[in-house]
Amino acid sequence: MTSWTDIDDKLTDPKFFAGTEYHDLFTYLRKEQPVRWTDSSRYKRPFWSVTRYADCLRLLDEPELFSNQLGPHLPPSGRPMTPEERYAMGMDVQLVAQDPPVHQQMRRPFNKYFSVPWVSKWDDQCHDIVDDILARIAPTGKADLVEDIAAQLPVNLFLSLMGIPREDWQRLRDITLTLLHAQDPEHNAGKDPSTVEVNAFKDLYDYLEAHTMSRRGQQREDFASLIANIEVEGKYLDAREAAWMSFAVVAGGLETTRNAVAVGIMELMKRPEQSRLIPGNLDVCKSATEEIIRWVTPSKNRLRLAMADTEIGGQKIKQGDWVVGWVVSGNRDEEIYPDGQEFNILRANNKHLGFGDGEHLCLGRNVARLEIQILLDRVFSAFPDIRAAGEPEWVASTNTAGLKRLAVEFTPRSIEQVTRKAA
Amino acid sequence: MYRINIIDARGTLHELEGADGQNIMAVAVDHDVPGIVGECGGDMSCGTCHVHIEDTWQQAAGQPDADETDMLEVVDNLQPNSRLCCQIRMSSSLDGITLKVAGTE
Repeated sequence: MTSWTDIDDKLTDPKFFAGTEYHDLFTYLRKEQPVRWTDSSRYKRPFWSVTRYADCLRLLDEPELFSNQLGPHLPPSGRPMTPEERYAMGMDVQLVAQDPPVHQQMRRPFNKYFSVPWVSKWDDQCHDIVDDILARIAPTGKADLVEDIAAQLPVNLFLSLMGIPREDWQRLRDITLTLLHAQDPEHNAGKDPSTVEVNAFKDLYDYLEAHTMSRRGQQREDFASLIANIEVEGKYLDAREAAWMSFAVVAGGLETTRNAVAVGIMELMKRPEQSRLIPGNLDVCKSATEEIIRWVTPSKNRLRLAMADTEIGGQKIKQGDWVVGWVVSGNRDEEIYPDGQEFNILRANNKHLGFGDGEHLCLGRNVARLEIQILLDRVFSAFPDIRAAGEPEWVASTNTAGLKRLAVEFTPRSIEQVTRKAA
Repeated sequence: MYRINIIDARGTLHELEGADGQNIMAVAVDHDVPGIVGECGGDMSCGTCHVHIEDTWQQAAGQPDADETDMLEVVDNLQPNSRLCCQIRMSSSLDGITLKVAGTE
């Protein structure tokens, strides 16, 4: 194994995470130094890297001790954010950056609109969108797994649910791609990643503020209207709070879901003995979805600020330390998953950390589950012989885990054969 | 330990036991009662532990608070005796409680 200096360097290098080899490093860390002070010349601020499941769970389940105020994950470059940049990114009002008791006060009114019964109302809408996805590609026998399949359902569903005009959808999608992949040279054109990220935040924010506030006083059915008119502690959200809530709904659900489903389908294409169990079997679709979230962990790390001196995994943590829970590592912890390096869609008792845990448990998790379950069922029903037609290209990021593109091919089918409308 | 009787959607009776202070959802999930999922772990954010309390036990089980009532607005098959069973904690006054799983498949 390489030196500890090299290990710290890797943990702060987005390119190191473009692929799957980084799992070997986490296996080593879980065994040799599960809580490691990560200090690299590449990154201006050292931080604790926490790699075991039980220790990651503590970071998620003790919000009084481990604060969210820094934001959800390691910022893309080691340069600390300026106060102006933190304000521009809405760290003062975004749910992901709130702590008790304000966090639950803001979040609780929204929970029911992301509950299982509520989300299940969108089943038909999801299937209609999937009809369009499949109809476009079925006769050709080929597609890009990411752009043509995985990205299309979450983007169309959320932008539709938010009531955003169709002519603006591509523009918004481009902004969120930049936002989530600011470390990747393809998205930052060589500029400072933190600057790129902040500018993308501002672009998305400006649009969503105007769109959301246009709904205040209106009783339309869309999410923008819900956010504009919901009462938290008896009051409307102010314009910034409402805009950033819309931001969380749009950005949080788009690329993470696309990343999970793209890598999930890629793994299933390599395992026909598993993929053939999927069509028409809801229980298998559900367990496959959980396994995909565990395996991919679309958001690899969770950042916390230690609010007091404490101890994790035998290491003394000081108040003010940055503490990073590498949940992508926790999801492969041998103590919890003895066969965790195996991809198994029939895995039972899969209490992964892919959606986090505790009071910041992903608000959109049941939407993601609905989308992934439906996509898996419909894709493998329509194209049972779907296979890779090239090599995957991975996003380079210490946070997001996903593909940029992967060509796939399959036996062409008619639109009538793959859509429900024709049934 | 106190007795809990849960009737699932197929009419099967599950006779369980819960400790003092333990919420009924946790007991049901531990025993794989069909239809009780408890996806959020008891935080009233998922709507997957919906039950109907038998008439004779409604008073003892009590009424839902404002947060629980809010979440109950979105469940299927809402009735006056609906509760989210993650919010019902066992005690001697609930020994022998009977309830039915309410969620649809």
